[in-house]
Amino acid sequence: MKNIILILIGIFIIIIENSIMNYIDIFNVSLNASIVYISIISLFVKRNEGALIGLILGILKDILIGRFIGVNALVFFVIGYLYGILQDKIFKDNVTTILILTLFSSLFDSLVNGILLKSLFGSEKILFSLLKGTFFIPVLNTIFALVIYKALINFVKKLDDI
Amino acid sequence: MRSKNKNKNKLNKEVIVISLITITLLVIIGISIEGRYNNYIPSAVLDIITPAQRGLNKVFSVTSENVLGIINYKKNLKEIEKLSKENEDLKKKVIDIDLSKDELGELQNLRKSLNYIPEGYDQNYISASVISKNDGNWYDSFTISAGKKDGVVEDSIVISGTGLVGKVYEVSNNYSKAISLLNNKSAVSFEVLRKGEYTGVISQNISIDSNENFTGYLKGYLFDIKYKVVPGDILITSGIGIYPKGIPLGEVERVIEDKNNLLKYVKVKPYVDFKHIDKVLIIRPRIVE
Repeated sequence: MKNIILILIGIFIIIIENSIMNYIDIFNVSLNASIVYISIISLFVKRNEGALIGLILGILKDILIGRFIGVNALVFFVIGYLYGILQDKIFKDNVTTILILTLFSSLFDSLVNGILLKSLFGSEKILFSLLKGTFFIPVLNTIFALVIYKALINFVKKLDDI
Repeated sequence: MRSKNKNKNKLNKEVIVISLITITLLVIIGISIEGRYNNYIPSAVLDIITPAQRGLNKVFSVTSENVLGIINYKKNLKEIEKLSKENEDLKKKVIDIDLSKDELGELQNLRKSLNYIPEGYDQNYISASVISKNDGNWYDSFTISAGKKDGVVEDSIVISGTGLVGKVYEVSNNYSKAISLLNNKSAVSFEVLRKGEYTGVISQNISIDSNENFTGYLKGYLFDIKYKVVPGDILITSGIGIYPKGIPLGEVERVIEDKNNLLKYVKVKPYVDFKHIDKVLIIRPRIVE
């Protein structure tokens, strides 16, 4: 039950991202709300469930707006599983930990996109792409995580009690 | 002792399942890059979920237009004045063009009467709107509200009011996905509007040895370095290849000469703003014999 609710909320976030958030660009980059969502909730569910939720949401995102099927699926699946493993080994209630984990997952997402999709890139200079992938996008996602993490974690904990 | 073994078995099984799934995903990505897969299930999911995106997008674009309209009130008034003046100039040009169109009509009748039939190209426009787009951080792709049922096929050309937008790469029953011109590795052949003999090719596969930053710009080269192309020249598609003739591409911003390779490169600013595309037209690709 809990997983189904989390998946439905994830689908809702992806739909909002594609229809509304991607039209608002901040310094020429766009927010990646779904990776922030997956990073945070997989710290609070079992690792198999985290991986499964990541896989389903990733495949859905690929179907809706992706170029090659499996790119986002791979990223979300790995993040979901990895953070499920890490959840017992870190201090989850600390804001800094969550922000660092979001930063890392954003970097991982940029890395996978950079490797698998480089046949599609326009004529950007490599240094500029690197700066964008390792600085602007992760920082933006981390700021977004700072805004929503408290509400999201309280919500996931409340789901546990249902 | 036994519970330790059981835990170890469970862990091994889990590791095997996870690595199998990872390998399967990589294989799926490989198949998707190759392009040879049956699109049935993904297109069914796309058809089911996209109406929600369409609704949200419509609400967002109407709201943002109205809000921006109120914020930019003064600017809009100035813009209206500028456009009225431009409109008057264009009306005068249209009258001149109409006069020469009559001559063209006579020539075409003459051609028909001589049984000389130019290659027919049936232009069926499908009008649609963009309902969702990807994050645009690495490449731009859009979902368009027209699909197989409306006649869209793979490789169809997408154009907007200002120019060439891109190409369709995936079609499902009611929706299709397109990728922008800046991220397309295939070549577009162009000609300069004011002098149709100046032709060349635009392709993102060209590597130009220069310090220019081509982010957001198109790269191209001219076939002959003697062509006198200057910044400000308008480039349109020349009709060779799958893109039909006459679609505006962009404006030349810089001409870069490379004496070693006997080529003249151009840096072109595309007319289309890939971050804000709403209404588009889809044309079937030209069949290249």
